Amino acid sequence: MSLRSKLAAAAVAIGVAPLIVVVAPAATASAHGYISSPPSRQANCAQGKVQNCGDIVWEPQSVEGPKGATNCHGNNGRFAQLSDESKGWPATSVGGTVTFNWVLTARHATSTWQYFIGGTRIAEFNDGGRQPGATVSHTVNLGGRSGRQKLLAVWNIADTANAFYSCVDLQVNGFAGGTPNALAAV
Amino acid sequence: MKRHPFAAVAAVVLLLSGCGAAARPSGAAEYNAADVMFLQMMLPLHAQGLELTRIAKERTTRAEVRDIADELDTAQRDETAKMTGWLTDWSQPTAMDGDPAAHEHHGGLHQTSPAEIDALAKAPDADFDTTFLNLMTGHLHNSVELTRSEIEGGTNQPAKDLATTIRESRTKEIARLLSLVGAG
Repeated sequence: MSLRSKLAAAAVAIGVAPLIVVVAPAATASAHGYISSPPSRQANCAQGKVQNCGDIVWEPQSVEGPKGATNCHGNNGRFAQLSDESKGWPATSVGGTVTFNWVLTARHATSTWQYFIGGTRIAEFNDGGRQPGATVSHTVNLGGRSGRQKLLAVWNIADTANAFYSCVDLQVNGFAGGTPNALAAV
Repeated sequence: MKRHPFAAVAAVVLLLSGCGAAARPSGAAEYNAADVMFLQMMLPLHAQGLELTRIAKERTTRAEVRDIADELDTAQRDETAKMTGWLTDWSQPTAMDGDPAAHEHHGGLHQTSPAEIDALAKAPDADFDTTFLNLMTGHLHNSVELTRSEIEGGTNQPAKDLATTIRESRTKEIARLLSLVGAG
């Protein structure tokens, strides 16, 4: 978003253009989306469940980088902590099929939503350039994987060269569609 | 809605003043374009936030969700009154003239649109809390983001203090919303 142009417009509108040099923001704000549940690494940082995450605490929605990156920080150096495997990222216990929910702060026209584990693409949802609706969630089959898994989700924007990146740490229980509690109840 | 009378005031101000800064009454509060823009952009965000909390208070069945909706409702009401009061004191319009929609074709409008509010109102019961929590979290991120330009570029101390309060309190509320959606 161009905050700078809005500032300029506001300055012109109220007739204080000479002051614009004082108010021009140092960095263009960019903020768009991430996975909220199961909690992504940036969601865990924003909740304080992982410490010393840096800037991401204030803007978990901003992990924007060039398309095609394969790491949790999307090759965006400001958020390199997200790829630091020594940070003890909590893993969410899940079954073999997981529904991922996104928080969006701007609904950019979307080409695809992709999900990777270990460099293999396990799911892709093609939005064909449409704007996302009010909420976005995808149900993904983990393909029989079990144990601890690091999933990388990528939101590819249709009309820019960039994508948004979100890693989710999972502890897969190895059976589809259930939880330990549900199994015990059976 | 008080928006229409203020929009009329805005038109008059634009017509009468070639230079708003010079037109300021002597002895009035110091403020600059960043202060005015921050307030003018935060007010519609708060109006959208109040729609979300109103619907949540009506529909949620989770006590923790109701609690945070109540808190956000109160905070956004109090802040709306403050912000409207400052703009009125400064003889500035409480709404920008159409500009925020310039991004809309790209989907880059960092606001909660009527379509999203409507989708929440119509969400099936089973999806309601997840929908609310994700929409409200995104909404609050946009509020936090908007505070940055004010903290960095504003000159009016009460407005800057409000921006800092919003940034810090909404960040804590985002953490609570995320913990609730994770536990849903």
